[in-house]
Amino acid sequence: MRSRTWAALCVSAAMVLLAGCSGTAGGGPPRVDGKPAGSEVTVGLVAPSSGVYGLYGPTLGGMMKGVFGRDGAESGVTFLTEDDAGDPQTALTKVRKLVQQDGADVVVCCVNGAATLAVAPYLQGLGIPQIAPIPGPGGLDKFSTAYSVGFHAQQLTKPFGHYAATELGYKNAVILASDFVQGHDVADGFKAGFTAAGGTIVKELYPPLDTSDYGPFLSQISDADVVFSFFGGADAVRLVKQYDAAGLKDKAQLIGLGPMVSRLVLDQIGDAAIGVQGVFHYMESGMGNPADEAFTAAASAAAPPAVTPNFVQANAWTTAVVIEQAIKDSRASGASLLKSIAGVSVQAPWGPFSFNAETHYPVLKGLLYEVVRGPERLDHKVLGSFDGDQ
Amino acid sequence: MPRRSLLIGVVLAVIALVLLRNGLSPYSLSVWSLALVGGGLGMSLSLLVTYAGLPSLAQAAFYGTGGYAVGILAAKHGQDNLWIGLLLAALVSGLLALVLGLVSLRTRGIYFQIITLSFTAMIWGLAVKWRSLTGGDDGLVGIYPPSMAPFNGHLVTPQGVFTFSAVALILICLVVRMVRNSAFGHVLVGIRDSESRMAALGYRTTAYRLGAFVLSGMLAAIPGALLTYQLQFVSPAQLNFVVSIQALLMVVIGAGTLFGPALAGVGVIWLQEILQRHTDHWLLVLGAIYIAVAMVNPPALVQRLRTQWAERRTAEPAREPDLEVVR
Amino acid sequence: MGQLLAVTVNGLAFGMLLFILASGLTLIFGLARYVNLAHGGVYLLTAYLAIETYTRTGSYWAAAGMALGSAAALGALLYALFVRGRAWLRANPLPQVLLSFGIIYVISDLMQARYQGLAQSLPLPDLIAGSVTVLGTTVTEYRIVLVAAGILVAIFLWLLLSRTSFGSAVRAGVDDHEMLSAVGRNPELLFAAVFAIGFALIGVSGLLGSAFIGASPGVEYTIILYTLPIIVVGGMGSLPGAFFASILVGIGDSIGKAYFPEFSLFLIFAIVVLTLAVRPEGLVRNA
Repeated sequence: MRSRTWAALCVSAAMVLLAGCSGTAGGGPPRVDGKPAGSEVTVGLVAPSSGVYGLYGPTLGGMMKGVFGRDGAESGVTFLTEDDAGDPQTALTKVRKLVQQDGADVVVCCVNGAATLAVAPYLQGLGIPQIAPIPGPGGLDKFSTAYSVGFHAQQLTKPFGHYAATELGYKNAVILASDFVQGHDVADGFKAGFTAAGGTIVKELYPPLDTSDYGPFLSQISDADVVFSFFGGADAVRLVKQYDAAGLKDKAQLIGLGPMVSRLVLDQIGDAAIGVQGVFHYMESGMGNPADEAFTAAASAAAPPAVTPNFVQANAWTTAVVIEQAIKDSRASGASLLKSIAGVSVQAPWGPFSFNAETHYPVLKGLLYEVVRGPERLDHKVLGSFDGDQ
Repeated sequence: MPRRSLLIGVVLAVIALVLLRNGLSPYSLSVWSLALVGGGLGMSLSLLVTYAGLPSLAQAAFYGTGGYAVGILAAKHGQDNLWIGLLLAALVSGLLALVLGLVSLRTRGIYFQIITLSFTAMIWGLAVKWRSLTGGDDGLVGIYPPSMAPFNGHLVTPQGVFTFSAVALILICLVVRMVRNSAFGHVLVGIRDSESRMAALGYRTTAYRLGAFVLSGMLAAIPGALLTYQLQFVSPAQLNFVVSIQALLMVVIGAGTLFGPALAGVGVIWLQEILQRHTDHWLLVLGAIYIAVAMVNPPALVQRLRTQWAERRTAEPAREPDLEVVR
Repeated sequence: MGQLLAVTVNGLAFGMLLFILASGLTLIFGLARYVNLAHGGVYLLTAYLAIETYTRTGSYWAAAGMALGSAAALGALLYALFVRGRAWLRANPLPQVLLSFGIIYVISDLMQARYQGLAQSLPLPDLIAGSVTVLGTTVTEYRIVLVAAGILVAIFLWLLLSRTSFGSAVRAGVDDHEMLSAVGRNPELLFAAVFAIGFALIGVSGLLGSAFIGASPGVEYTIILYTLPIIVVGGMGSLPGAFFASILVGIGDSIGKAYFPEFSLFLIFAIVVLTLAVRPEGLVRNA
């Protein structure tokens, strides 16, 4: 018995010592450096093609591939995609693969906000530029390599809160947003702007994600002239339908952040969406500028017409255009790809696009629009616009 | 497994470890590190399923708690010592296992399975809601590579992480073997085969099962903590009940052998990686594999083969062993 | 007070939907000792199919037929492929749960491929699309339909099991499988029928739920999350248990969301833990 215990102890001690050899110097946050774009540039996209966000991956990938592959595009651009199933852990693994195995020079990631934040330190450590394609979490300015084509919530909702109180004249608001980090972000921004401009927040309701039955929340809405909201995907479909069924559309104006009445869900919501308003950077029924027309034509060629054009496609297109322009600039000027991305200036479907150099988020203009019945399907009609925050 | 073969096995494993460590690309090593963590998860569950006969689906709760323990300590309190992190992770998970075990071990079989599944879902829900502690859905970032004091350096290079994960897995395997061969382990197997008999002999069966549950929970915390260090990130995904199901797959593929679950664990993670490289429909293939494994039911198969082999050796029909959960 | 009533009715409606779903599970487990954790995946499949059928044909009856028919067919198929002749699978928790999740993953992947991850919802017929005001509170008409549906299903199952020879055979089979063949009933046919009916019930919940919860990726797992407390609290083979547990979970969820939204999910599981601490076999002892 004793010899067996000794043997076990010796083996364990040896193992632990061996494990001790695993250590190397260098903990703590790592450093940066950047290189210019060469003749061959590899762009990697990490987005979900399966799971709850499974529609984003093929949409983003399809649009970006189209931009990089069109006539007159920059040469030598290789575009790779990986599926992260909407899971931060998988996103990290795929980003590692793209960078270590496939030699990605710039990584577009991610759709899931947690994943975006999870891969940021890793990419920063290697000096590889990261671009988040759709609206997502704040705080990317902490990472020198992370930029976002999508705005962060408060950039848009805080000035909208101000706009709602001053220009639109709302006095009492109910906040109704999905109970997750982005939902609260959106709500906090609106709260700050609205109350600072003299409005009153009557109630705040945060249904959990994937709530099927919004009854308990909708029944608490009263004494308000506006309900400011954030829901996406299936939640948006359910909420708007139930809001209408509960007869609340006559009582309080429902205004939601873009995804709530996006073309992605509009058909499924149906007529219940008519009269509901949206606040976003892009209006999906034709902004009337050449970039939007070019984009819409490209999108219609690739995707199901019922959900085209939508903001995911628009952001994907813009991201690809940003990268392409940055590659062009970097090749011309010899500046690092990262610097070129930071200083890029392009035409997005929603107008001129550039990054705010300090915050790494877009210079933003906000739109307010309403869902109306158009000639063939439900459409958006712009009611007003305002400047976004930093 | 007799001691000499074990020693040979360990030596071979170490040789394989060194070869892989020096021969593979950093990316392959990082996948191996994930796979080795999977092996650890499988081994921790095998203690419960194979030896105690408890079909637990709570493993993700302990695995994830281990991950969150080191994550919260690192991101919120700046605790960056590897050994302290691992120790605390094991202790917290053990405590959780004690509490969950006290409630769930009053049930058996399928009821126990469903109840442990419910607990995993509950812990996951807690992690999602308790945003101030866990970062909610977004998880926690800012978990930097831990220092290995009193040894030199940090756990940061792909080679180092790989080596440490491999060593950790080997140690977990040895611990499981030690438990199985101990008096405690023998009583556990006795309880698995016939609880009433052991109770009649005067053993406090619930105490033993609780002990196994807690030990298994503590073991699961180690791979969980290592995963967090590898990814420098922790999120509710680590607590999702599908992780428990995956652990169960590893144990079942491991077919009731001692180190089978470790190999199966490594294999399952690599399989997923390779599937994802080759097809968009990797989930479909994975589902088919789950179904196939369920139908083949390796533990029962292996048991049948063992019985046949024993029959052949003794040249007389062996008695049908008492089969409860590991059929 | 009015709001409490609204919250309760809403919770009751949700609970009834969950009951219809859980009843299928309970029936199958009661007889075949087979836990079908794939019910979430089957719900998703039938909900998507119901919506697609309605979109193509414009007929709710066609959608209903598709939902129930496909579910029943799937149930019979699963029985024939995986359960028939495999007595070892019965009451064997390990392979059962792996089989269930394998099925969920397969369905999940197929649904993703066909519907590209878009969230879909069945539009309601105008007849039941509005709301009514009762006792000072406003409740949507569809919620009332759900409550009625749940009660109807409960009555149907009660009549089926207690008043028909099929039902008595099922109840006999629950207690003693060999007796079935001794009494001249074909146990295989009986099992297949129970699987088909159990799955058809999931199909009913898929049809009704498609207008309420809708169909979108991820739903197959959320469903499991809600039915687990019902199974545990109601006792796994008991239909009356499932009925009361569903009401408890539905109303509990509703009240939790209305008054303690931070803890709503946790509240449901707290009910589970309390039940387990007091009565591990569930509220109603297994029939």
